[in-house]
Order: sequence, then structure tokens, then C-alpha cells
Amino acid sequence: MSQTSVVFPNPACFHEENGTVRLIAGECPSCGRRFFPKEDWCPNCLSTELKARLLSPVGTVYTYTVVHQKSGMGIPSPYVLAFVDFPEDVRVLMQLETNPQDVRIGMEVSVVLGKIGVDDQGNDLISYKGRPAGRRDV
Amino acid sequence: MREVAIVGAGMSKFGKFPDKTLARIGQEAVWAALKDAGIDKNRIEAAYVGNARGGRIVGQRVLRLMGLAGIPVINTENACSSGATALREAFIAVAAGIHDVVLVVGVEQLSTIVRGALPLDREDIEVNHGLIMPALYAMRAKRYMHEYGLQSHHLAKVSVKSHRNATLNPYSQYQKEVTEEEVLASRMIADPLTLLMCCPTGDGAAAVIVCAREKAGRFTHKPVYIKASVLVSGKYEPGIRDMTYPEITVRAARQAYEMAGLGPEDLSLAQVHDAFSISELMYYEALGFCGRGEAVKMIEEGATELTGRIPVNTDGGLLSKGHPLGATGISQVVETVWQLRGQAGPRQIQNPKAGLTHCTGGGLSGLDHGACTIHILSR
Repeated sequence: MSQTSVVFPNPACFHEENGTVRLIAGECPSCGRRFFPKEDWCPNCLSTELKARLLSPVGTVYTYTVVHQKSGMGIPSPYVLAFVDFPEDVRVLMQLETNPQDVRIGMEVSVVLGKIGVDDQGNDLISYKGRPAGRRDV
Repeated sequence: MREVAIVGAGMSKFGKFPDKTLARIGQEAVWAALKDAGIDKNRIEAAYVGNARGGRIVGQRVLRLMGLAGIPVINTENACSSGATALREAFIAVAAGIHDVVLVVGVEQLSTIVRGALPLDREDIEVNHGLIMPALYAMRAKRYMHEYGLQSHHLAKVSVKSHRNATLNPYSQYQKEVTEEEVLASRMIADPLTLLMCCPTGDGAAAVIVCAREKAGRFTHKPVYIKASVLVSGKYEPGIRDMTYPEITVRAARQAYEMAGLGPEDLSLAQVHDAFSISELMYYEALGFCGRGEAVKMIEEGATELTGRIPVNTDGGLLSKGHPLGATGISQVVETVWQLRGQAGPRQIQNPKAGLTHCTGGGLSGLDHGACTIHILSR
């Protein structure tokens, strides 16, 4: 069996400290807009002075679905996907670590790191996910 | 700008034809359009060919054996709006006086390359995190349900209507009526969307001959005029936005109505991008057929049935006629031409004056969609 390991497909998108995971958005000092993920320049005014802005560790589910179809990313179905709104006016799509029947629009989720799929070499893909706020594990 | 007419329209049967080539499928539509126009192929000055996933020089592959090699061939790709994007390029060239008579083709063959949900671009961060197209529409549906009291059986009603219309259209991929119960009981794809609330993948082609109005009389006594031809791309707005009201369609519709000098109340019928049953309902509102949150009432009252106030997806739509990406936008136009000429057979609506066709294309994070095209046609 070949050795598989762990891959972070979007390592620049989050910051982890003392078990708290925060997403990193870009904030433009010229026009004030915020974007996730942070890019090298502002997609609105093209300023290259973009600052990193750590988002609140907890967001609110704007909408969600339980996917029963294969995604092509090696995710076993069913899995839960949600658009999560952060107080900084940023919306991020993420998988939720929760029982499908427990998800509600408006529920709060904490950002965590977890497996989001498997790549073509069989490596686990680890990235940001949401977990119902207040829960330590699943 | 010159006025522009459609003087010929034809399409291939939609379905799964893995034993045919992409070129052959396209040729069937070109044959049909040329024959319908009664035009000498040597009058065609250029060809605009929309395709999303067939690879390179699709137009040349289709036209090589049609005696049309040598003319300018413009291949367009804009995901599900590829065909309608080709039509807009043709419209511009004829309106501007660069060409008098051109051919527009939309063609796609998916049966040989995909099964199930279409794979999306893996460099997209949302695709990376598990997004597939049915899931995106499912999340729009969930939010719409939350805000406006939409229920699953309303979504099923859209599929029932589309399947019923498709049984009256010999070109449709699906030829069978379904009940609300069957739609709701079909396999769950992405909650609340079941299999029968999702369009199938498939193969097909459609073609039209586009011509300057002043020359149209030579080919047909029933020209159909292109009153508006609009293409917009999605705005990059990754932040908080209302996912129940697709801004790209709202924006394109506003431009189209202004260009045509018509409003939604002037339309006799519409073909909208019902890739999933929720989208048809959201587009009733985005295209101005009803107010915000009133789509449920429209489908419940039968306002968009063949006999309703504004029949929508008279040919079965993407849900039942099928959705060979690049072909879809042109097939919507073919259906509208047939309806406006009174040639739509058992699904003919009464005395239509004007019709709208609408396609959105492509999933990309931060954008509502990659592209949106709207055409308004009239007698």
C-alpha cells in the first residue's frame, strides 16, 4: 500500500491558534471592501495594499443542503454544505460536521479544521469546515 | 443598427446518442435549419457555433461536410450560455451590416464524457470544498423556502409541467408524464432537489439562420425578429447577497426589455433556464413575470402552463427536453420561432406575439453565474 498523507489545499485561507480557527479575508484600505479568500489585489479597485483580516471564529448558516450525490472530491455522501455568513460581511461556503437532520438556517457554526475530501493520490484533504457552535467534537 | 430576423430554424432530437459523433449531431440541426429556410447554402456568409465541452474547432467539425468550409467560423464557449452567446455575435454582425445572412449552431455531446453531475473547475475554492451544481441550486431552494414558504411539492409541480409539455414535443429527451408523487419519491440528489427536479445530461443540437430584415422576405413569409439580444457576465460579489433573487438575470432582463421596447407584460411565452426546478420559479420573479415571493402562486394557479397567462418552457425546458449545454440556448430560440409561426403542433399556444429566451451559464465562486443571455423575439 502506498503511503498517503495529509494535504491542505488552501493553507493561506485560515489561521489556527490555541485550537481556534479563523478564516482570513482580504480587506481593501482604499475602498473598504472585504473578500474571501484574500487575493493579491482588491478585485474591486485593484489596490495591491490588501490587508489580511481575521474573521470571527463563529458564523451563521445562511443556507445549506445535504448532498446525496458524489462530488468528485472523494467525499462520502451524504454530506452537508452551507453558506456561512460572518459578522464582517463575508460569506463562505463550507462543509458542516453535523448530523444532516440537525442543520437549520440561522444556526451558529464555529470554524474548525477537518477532512473535506481525498485527492487523486489518496491523500486526505484538510481544510476549514463548520461545526455547530458550542460543540467540541462530533 | 439594422433590424435582424430569423428565417430558418431546426434542431436534432435531444437524448443520449453515444454512437453518434458531435459533428453528426450538429449536422442534423444544420440540415434542418437550411431546409426550413429554403436557402442555398452558398448564401451563408459566416457561422457562429456555441459549444461548451466538445473541444476545439467544433464549428469546423460540424460544417466541414455541409459545404460550408471556407467561411468565417466563430466558435463560442460560455458554459450553458454558449449557444445563445453565438446567437448574440451573429446578431451583432448582421445588425452592424458586416454580414447579411449567417448560420448559428448550438451543439453538445455529453453522453460520451459524463455520468451524473457535471464536474466543475477544480481550481475553484468552492468546488474544492465540495460544491456541485445541484447543491448550489439546492441551497438557493432552501433559502427560498425559508423566506417565502415554498414547499417541495411546488418544486415537483414545475417538473410535472415540464414533463407534460415534453410529451408534446418529439424532440424532447424525456417523453413521459410524471406525477408530483413520483417526482417527490425519486432519488434525493441535494436536499430538497430530487432526481426529477434536476435536468438530465444529454446530446443535441439546434440551428437558426439569421438574416438582415430587408433580405428576410426572400427566404420566408414568416420571419421572426430579434428585438433584443443581451449578454452579461456575473459580477464578482463574494460577500453577503440575496441568493433568492439572481442578480445576473435581473440585470440582463432589464437590458433586454429596454432594448426591445417591451416589458414582461408584452410576452406571450418564455423559455427560461430551468436546470433545476427551483430555478424556473426564481426566474419568474427575476424576469418580472410576478413580484418577489409570488412564484409559488404562479405555479399553483397554472399561470405558466400552456393554457396560462404566460406559458413557460413550452418545449419541456431543460428539465425534460434536456440540456445539452451549448445547444440549449438555440433550442429555446427554435421553439420560440416555431411558436411565433404557429408551427408548434400539439403544444402550440394561442396567437403568440412575442417570446423571451433565457440562459445562464457556469458556476464560479463569487459570481451568481458566469454568463446570462436573454433574447426577445417577436413576429
